Amino acid sequence: MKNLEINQMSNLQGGGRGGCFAAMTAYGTSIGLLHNAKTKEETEAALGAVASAFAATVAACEDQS
Amino acid sequence: MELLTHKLLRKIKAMTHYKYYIALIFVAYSFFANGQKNYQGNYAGTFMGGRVACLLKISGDIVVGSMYDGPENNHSITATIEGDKFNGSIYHKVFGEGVLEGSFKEDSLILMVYFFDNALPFLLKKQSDKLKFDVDKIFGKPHLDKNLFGDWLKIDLTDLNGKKVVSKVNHKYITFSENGYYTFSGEPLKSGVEFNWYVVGNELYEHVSNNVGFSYDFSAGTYQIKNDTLTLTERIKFKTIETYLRKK
Repeated sequence: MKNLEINQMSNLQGGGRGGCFAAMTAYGTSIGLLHNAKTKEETEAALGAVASAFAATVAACEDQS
Repeated sequence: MELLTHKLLRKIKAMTHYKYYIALIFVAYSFFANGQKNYQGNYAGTFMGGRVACLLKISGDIVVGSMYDGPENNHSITATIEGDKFNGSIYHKVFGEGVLEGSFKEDSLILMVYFFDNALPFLLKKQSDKLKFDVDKIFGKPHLDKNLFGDWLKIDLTDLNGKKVVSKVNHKYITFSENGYYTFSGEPLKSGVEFNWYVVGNELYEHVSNNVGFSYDFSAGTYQIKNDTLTLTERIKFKTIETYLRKK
């Protein structure tokens, strides 16, 4: 189910559709945070942020697919 | 009769040349195809600082593969090879679709993956030509170690040389529950996000998930328990040693 949604999100990436695009930008930022985490604790915090951003992106983009 | 024989001989000669050219083309093609097939096989490496295992199956210049960055994290790869250049995409079940760009250097594949605006290095070294691997063998069989059950107070965080490391996040203690839940103080969990733990050999893994299908595993390093002291050493990504004392 989520695979399809991520695909749809990718399709929307260039569309710049309001909340969906903003959520995806935040999601991208959280991936950057995860990549730059220097300790296990920072990684845990970043992963929490990625998981939340993922949920927000799914919610924001779901009705536009 | 003599003319006929001469014509026949010329024909045979021409055919021989024809066969020779076909053979030459076949040899050249085989050399080219085999050259690319050398890239086929199983690989090990790192992605986002974590350990990965990868299979690349090549047909012509088309690559189809799969990448594991944890025992349960399987992502698909499609790409093309042109000379030593590798271009394609990865379908990561958490980060979505990413663009892959890189090249082969001897037995290594050096790539960058682009997810949204993030360029992440992806390094692979060929292990063998085999197109199979046992994920359990690479990452091991997950289980809960009862010696970890309970609360652990953080007493130290250093680099591998013993020098203090300052983290932007400060967990005072961590808890390994008997039901597999993993919690930590200092950073409140966001709504719907859940952490679980398991071990493989002496390696501690954390599994992060949420209520809408997000799921990701990462290695937190190798652990050792001695006299109620837990030492967690991570040499690949963080290069840190964490020390905890069992809370009684």
